[in-house]
Amino acid sequence: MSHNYCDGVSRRNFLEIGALSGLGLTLPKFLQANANQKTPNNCILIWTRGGTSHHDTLDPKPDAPTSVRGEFSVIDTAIPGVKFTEVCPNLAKHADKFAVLRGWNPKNGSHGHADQYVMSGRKFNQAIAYPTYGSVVSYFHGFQTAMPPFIQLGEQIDRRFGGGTSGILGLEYNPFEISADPSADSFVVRDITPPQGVTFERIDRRKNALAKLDALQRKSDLQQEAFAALDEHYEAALNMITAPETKKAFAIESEEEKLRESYGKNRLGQSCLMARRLIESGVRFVTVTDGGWDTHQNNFSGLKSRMPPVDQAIPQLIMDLEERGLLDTTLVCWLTDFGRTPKINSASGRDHWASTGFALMAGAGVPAGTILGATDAEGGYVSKDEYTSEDIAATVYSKLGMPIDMIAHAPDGRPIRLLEGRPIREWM
Amino acid sequence: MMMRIQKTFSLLLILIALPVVAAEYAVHPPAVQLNGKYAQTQLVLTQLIDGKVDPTSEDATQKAAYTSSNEEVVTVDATGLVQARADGTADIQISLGPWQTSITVTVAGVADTTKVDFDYSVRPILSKAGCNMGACHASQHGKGGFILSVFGFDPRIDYKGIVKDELERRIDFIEPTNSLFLLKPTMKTPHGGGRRLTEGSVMYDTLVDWLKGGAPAPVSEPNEVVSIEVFPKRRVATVGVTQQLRVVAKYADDTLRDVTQLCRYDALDEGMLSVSESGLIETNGLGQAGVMVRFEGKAEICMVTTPYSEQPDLQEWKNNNFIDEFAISKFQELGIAPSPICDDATFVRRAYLDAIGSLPTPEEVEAFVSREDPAKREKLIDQLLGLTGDPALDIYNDRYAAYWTLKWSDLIRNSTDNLGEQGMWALHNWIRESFRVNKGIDKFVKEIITAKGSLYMNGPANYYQINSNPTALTESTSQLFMGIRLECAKCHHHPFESYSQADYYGMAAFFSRVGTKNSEEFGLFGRERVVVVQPSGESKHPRTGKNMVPTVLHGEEMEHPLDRRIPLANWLASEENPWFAKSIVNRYMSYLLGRGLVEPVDDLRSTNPATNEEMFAALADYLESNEYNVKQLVKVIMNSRVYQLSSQPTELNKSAGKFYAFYKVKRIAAEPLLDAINTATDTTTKFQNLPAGTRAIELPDTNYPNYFLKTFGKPRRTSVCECERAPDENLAQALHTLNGDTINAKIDDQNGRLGKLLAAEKSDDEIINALFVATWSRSPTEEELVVCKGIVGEAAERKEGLGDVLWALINAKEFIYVR
Repeated sequence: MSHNYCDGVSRRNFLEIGALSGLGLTLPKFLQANANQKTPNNCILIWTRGGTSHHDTLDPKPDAPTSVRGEFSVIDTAIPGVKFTEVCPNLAKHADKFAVLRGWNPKNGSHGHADQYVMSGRKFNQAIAYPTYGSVVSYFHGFQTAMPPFIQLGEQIDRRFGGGTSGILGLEYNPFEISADPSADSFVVRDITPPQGVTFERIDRRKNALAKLDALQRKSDLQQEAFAALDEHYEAALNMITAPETKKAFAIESEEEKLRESYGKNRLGQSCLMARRLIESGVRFVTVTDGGWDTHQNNFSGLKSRMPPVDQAIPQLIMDLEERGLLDTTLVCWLTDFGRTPKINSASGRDHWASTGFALMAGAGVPAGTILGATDAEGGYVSKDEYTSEDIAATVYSKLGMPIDMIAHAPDGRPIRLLEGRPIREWM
Repeated sequence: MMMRIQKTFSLLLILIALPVVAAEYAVHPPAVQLNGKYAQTQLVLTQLIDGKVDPTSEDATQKAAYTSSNEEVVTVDATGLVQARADGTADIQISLGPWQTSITVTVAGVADTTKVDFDYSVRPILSKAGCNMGACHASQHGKGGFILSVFGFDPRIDYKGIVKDELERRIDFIEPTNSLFLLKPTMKTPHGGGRRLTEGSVMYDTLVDWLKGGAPAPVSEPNEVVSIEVFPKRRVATVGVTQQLRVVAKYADDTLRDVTQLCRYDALDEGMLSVSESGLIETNGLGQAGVMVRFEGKAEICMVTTPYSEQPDLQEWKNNNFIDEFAISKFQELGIAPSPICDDATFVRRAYLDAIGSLPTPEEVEAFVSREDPAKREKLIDQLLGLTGDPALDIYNDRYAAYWTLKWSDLIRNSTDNLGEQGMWALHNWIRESFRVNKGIDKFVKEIITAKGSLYMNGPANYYQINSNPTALTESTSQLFMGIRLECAKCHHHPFESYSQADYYGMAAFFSRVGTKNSEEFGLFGRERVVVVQPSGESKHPRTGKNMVPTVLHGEEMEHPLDRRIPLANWLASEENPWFAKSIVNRYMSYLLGRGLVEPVDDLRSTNPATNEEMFAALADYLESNEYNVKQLVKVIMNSRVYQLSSQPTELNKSAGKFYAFYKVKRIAAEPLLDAINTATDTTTKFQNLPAGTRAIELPDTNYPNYFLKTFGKPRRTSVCECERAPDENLAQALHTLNGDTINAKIDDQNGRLGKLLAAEKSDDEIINALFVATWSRSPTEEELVVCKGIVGEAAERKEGLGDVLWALINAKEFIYVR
């Protein structure tokens, strides 16, 4: 029995597409109608957990008093008149390859809520766990190859409030998490790489053994629905374990050493490279996570060590994607919790700041070499072209070929509109 | 007006029943009086059986031909929809083959120039067209700036949105049809919501007239709908037939109005039937399902049954207890033949997993299967529940308590995140002790509701820390102990029930004087929080601003001089509360049988009928008359034949799972699954900060750094919804069982089951047999033995091959499911 809820849509339908539902078009039909169109864009999201200071990176205030300006001097970028700080030399050099939003208003100053809000586009709500982008992509577009549609590299996401998870869409759409460090020599992926002592031949044998025993249980073709669902997941899992693209995707050691070095031989750099490999193998959404950005103390010395890997990897990732002809179909985003206080505190740090911050995007038609929006003289408030996390979300949805008026249903059946924002016009 | 019609109707029925008037069809209603310019009525033509209308009567509305004797006065279309045109009287001729009849229609009030009323005429149209749905203009920010209240619960918001907002840009008083309010839904101007209204339709014309009359605002005391009546209420049909519904609304001033065209219709099982915008049901599958009919905050159901067969084979069926009596009458009604009873090996596995969340050990399986005692199933159930009275046999009581503590801790949301470590332990120990001593579930609930004092000393008091304000308490309490989801009514009228904001805030008033404060003590338990009752504190109705008197749902006002929670607790966990016993029964039915009588399991309401209402009522009575003894409830369910049916569906009953025609398989949840893997492989898992040997079902808290539990969805206990423990499998789980180190390490463990069997130098046959019993709780068949020996033969090493057999057994559905 299916169940009807607040506006008479059953949970089985689960998702309808706002305006389209008026035309009697439900999701399967919509997908069918769309089947002939080109494959949707993919996305690599780089998440710097903790809140990367905007003052000290992409939105410097060289004319502000020292107490706000901070220790770093500014440098010219590839865009005339635009300056970044000295800890972003590589980003500055390649500023013509991406777009920066300086008019982001995070409207939130606490961790946890940030991971949830920024990566879903919906403010935290006790009653509704809003799904993160990758889960929605996974839900909406499904598998492309044997690889899971949504992969998260690293564990630097604060999940106390459901950040970075599938929420109401259900466990099935959670990211496939890889906690191992791709820059390590011993890099293996949990549950994909067979456990010690198990060869691929043995996996094949086990697979056959399971199939044979299972076949004996099926005295008739009739089986309960739950069994069929399990079969589906087992098949996907076995495919993934044994598919050549899986082995290939994770074989980061097969990359040329020179390229590996140009991404930076550190966790973030190699994660970005891995993200590119995953996209190539059919993953639709990769979140690369990086931690340690909550610089309440020693903001400047902290950034001096935190920034270089990011500064190296992001432009390199964009250029690598471009060279491979993947940039037009891959959206690259760099997002973080929020901005940090204009005023430097007594511990030479900056605290949480809920009104300004930055966001970076490239690829998938985002106009490269543009700076959108501005903050006031002290970087405390948005003075021009303000956009919120809702709008960033709408942009991501639009770029990834998902309707921005998508409705999903909470487990209790209420129809939930996943987004309330509007796409960033200048980037569309 | 309608009252008279109904009298005439009964009179007509008597006439029809006389043999002289040998009519074959009944017209409903037998005479029509239409009042007002846009008045309509739906005729329903029903074939008579032995001169009577009964649920099996065929609907002939679509087959008949209708003509009006005077189209100036009244028109009628092919579907039997009658429309007023001008004041006067006319006849409608109805013919079907040789049969014919005519009914008189009297029309009045068409010439009346009274302005169109917002509540009576306009709002139902906004609801019917879907404008005020939560996903459309009633979303938080409306759509395109146009905001309506959800399902029209607040006409002031609607009026403001339509007429006043944005400098009245949505309305054109000079040229009403040029109003954006009409151009959008008719798609004359692009509309994100698509076409919702047709130009020239009655709904459209009504809105035009309202605008022409100057768009009068809603009146302060509208004539509200008090009830709606659906005809027919019940229908037994075959597949591929239609049934036209007719809906009459009764207003506060006792007038009746045909609202068939203005209701919203929802098929509650789209696989079985569909329903059109104008209330025409079409059956397309077998089974039993309802159509929900909604109008102006009222909701009713028409139940439709399409039997699976005429004469089900029920010869083998024997009733074990009263549950089966109700099951079989449902099987007869629906023509279902249930699956046969399951064998002993299946039963012992099922009973252990369902009652105590544990896989039986090989010894336990063999002891049961080999016992020759016709009453052995009953005895096993008593033993698992600790009801034998013999301490030597009642050895499972601790595990019973652990397993059900786990279930209730999920629901009550016990976790360190919510309560800190001391609070979590206090609550855990209290819940566990309650199940250990088999406390009546009424007492359990009362202790929670009236809990006071230290969070560290008094376990149930933590309920007030987890739910720290009156709204959270209202919602959690209603959902947990009544199975009612009241949260809709916080902001608007419940869409499928008659609950209003007054009901919600009336319930909230019980909790308006309870709070927590910091303890003033020092020392070990100092600075903890304490639940206290304050002398003041009120719950206000958000629209009227009035203080609410504490009032139970659909019940009495209950003030109390000391603690408002006392009368609430006394009512909540008692027979006075019509939902309490049912909500408990439904949860336990779903835990044991894989499906509640009502689904979702905590969503009891009149528009969500049980698959077997009589069984539901009988079980609730049973719980009430057994002093809310939950063990007795579990016992009676497990002793029923429906519980003991095979899980293999048959061609005939495969889609009748919701009537318990076979045992519905369910995936073993994260914690018992980990325990089961440990039992099967004869290994253990060590959990942080807990003594070795602690089972996963005994874990008090939510967060353990255990990859298996995390992947298999141990709930984080953030929601009271039963749905938090998602039953859906996912890729990571499949990957982990197939390829993960948890299972692999346990299979390879030298001191594990396989290791010991190998060390004991058993033969392949013996080992394979032992592995089967340890995992699937039965010996292999001949065929299975051959296959497994083949698997061993293929491996390079015997040990590896046997490991692969064990691996395959654990990964098979026979293992992962309670079946």
